[in-house]
Amino acid sequence: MALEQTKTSKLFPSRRRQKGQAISVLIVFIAAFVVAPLCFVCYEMCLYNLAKQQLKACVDSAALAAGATVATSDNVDPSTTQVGAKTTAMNMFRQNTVLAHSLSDATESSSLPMSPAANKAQLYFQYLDPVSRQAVPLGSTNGKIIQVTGAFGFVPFFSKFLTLLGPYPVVERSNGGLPQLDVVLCFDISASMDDFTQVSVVNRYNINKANPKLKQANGYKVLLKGPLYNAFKCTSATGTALNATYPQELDAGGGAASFSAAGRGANTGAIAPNASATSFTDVVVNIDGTSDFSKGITVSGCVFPAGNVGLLVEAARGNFESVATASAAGVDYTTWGVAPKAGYYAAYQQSAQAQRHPISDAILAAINFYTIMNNDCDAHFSLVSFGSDAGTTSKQVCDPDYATLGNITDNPSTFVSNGSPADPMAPLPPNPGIPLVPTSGPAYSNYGSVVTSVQTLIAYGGTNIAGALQYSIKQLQSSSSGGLGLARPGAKKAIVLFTDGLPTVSSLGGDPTADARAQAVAANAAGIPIYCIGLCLVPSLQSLQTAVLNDTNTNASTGGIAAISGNNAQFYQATDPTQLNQVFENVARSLVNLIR
Amino acid sequence: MKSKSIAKVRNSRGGSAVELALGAILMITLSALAMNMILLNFAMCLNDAVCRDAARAAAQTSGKAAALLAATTQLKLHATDGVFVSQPILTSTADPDFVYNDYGGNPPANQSSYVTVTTSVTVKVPAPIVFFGAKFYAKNGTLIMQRRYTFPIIKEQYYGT
Repeated sequence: MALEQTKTSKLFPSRRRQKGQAISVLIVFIAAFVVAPLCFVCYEMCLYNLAKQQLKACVDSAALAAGATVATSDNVDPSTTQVGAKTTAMNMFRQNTVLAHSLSDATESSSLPMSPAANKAQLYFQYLDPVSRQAVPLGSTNGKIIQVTGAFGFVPFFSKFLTLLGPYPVVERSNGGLPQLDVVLCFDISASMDDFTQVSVVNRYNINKANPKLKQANGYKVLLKGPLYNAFKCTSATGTALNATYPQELDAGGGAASFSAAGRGANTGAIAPNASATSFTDVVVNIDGTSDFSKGITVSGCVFPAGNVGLLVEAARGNFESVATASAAGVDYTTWGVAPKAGYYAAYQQSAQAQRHPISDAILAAINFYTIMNNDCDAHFSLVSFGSDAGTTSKQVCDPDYATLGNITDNPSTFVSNGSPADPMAPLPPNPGIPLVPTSGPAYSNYGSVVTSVQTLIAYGGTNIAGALQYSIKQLQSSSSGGLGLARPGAKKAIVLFTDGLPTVSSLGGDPTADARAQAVAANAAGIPIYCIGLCLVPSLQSLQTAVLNDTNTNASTGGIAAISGNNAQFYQATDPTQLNQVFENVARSLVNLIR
Repeated sequence: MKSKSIAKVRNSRGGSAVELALGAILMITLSALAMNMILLNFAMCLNDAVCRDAARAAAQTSGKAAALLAATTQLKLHATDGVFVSQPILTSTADPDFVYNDYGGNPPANQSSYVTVTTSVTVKVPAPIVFFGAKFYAKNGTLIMQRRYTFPIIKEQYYGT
């Protein structure tokens, strides 16, 4: 027994040593050739993953920059815009880093796949059709999504030890631009929308009324001049109801001068009925854009000499269409250097329409906005013009308000001109509404309809913001939520409210401002942002407008419409009509997103 | 006779214990490195995501103060354990760590207004090593990781013309 124990004890240690050595060797072997390489591989994988994550963020940044550039570009040439967007994207990309390596020397690749050098990056750009998602050539009007593909030459950290070759390209891709968008533009056409038109307020009189034996002819006394609002010394926050062009509502001027229907007399083909007076009979647009018609202008071959306000008055009345008409109307044109001829009425009207401010500037900005959106994204458009009522159909016109036309019922011929029928409110000012079309595809975008309709707008009526917002929200809401279901499924919805004033009427029956705010609450609940663009040309009124439209006060009773609507809506206040383009571009930019 | 055999058994047991200890040290070291790697990878990815989100959020604002607020809000949304990986913070609110440059509404040609955000997290690691290009401070065995992103400002402030 003792001998066996001795034998066993002799044998056992030697077996243990052998096993121990084997285990040690095995541990070292596993550590050196299994665990350590696995750790290295894991490390490299983590590093690669990190590089991928960082490159993705950098490519996102570049794609966003490209999208924002396209959205704010006022160049309607897609090729120029797209090239500019690429350059901006590249510059933005170069400001970032991947794995602590600067991308400042990143280059553009002209083809795929890319093979960047070690720790260097390349970008590849292409534009995609938002509907088919297929690449289109540079400059194509269908290229509305910019796709940025980035590649980074990843070099494994342990490549020297493990003889790993490299660099291995890390590739990431991102699409930037404006999302599929259903946008409703609420466009203010209230009477104040032409308050900053340069006008001359004139008393047209018979120079020899007191002595019928002398030559009976018209004289023209300029009583007021300059921007309509200032000329009439208007102080109202909601502007003046008097228009620079048809329908003029001459009784609504207020303050600085009073209108005389009797002094105006028959509009066409008749001499001024009264002698010189302090009341005005005509308001004409200084169609050269100056405050005193000091430059003069020639339109379609019709010469309007500088300073000749009398010719503006007679052309606006249609009294300069022929020698016979002019003579019957007492127009002493012999000293004017121009002779009556057909076309003066049309020339005046055409120029006057273009000189209406700010409405003509707003129309151009709106067209530019529609065009940029149409060029840059898969957008469907709606136009809701609003004066006293919100437009809901393309042929809708304003409800006439004869009461504001003063004593027109006593003297209907006062407002008749050669170009209009006997009724001073006929044809009625357009008040169109172009609803969205839910069918997908560019053919249903409404681009052509909204651009055509917005060009016809004439300033008239009050400011029914609540009614316009209510109809806009209804369009964008689904039928199951009580709306009209005109938005496309998946499309981002937005309302752009453009106004030059404050709510003055409400078709909802309550306080105009409170009703407008209530609609903003409804928009918030529906997830629809209301981007507010306030045009305010009177400095003292800017705070009043800001209080109603701002994007900072979310209080439903006292806040701003943009803020209450939420969903990242913003408020922009333009203090000059020339700023409107930029404001609309800012709205477009703020809608830019990454597109998956 | 008995004491000799006991001594031999102890020797052999001691030998295997030493082998086990040596193997364990190696495995513990590897485990510690692996844990380092997991922690650092987690921290780096977290900081990267935080920085990206903060920069994206800041780019959606139209002013430096609002951008700072938006970035800070994003930092709070990314919670950490607070023991091994600290809560991410803005490295600084001054240039070049935090830049809000909208060029006063008039960016140069082919440039976009931009916001730069830099965030940091502090990681306590069992075995401090230089990792992922992180800045190493030999202080309490911690690593400070920084990440900086620059994004284009989407909601630009309107300055007028």
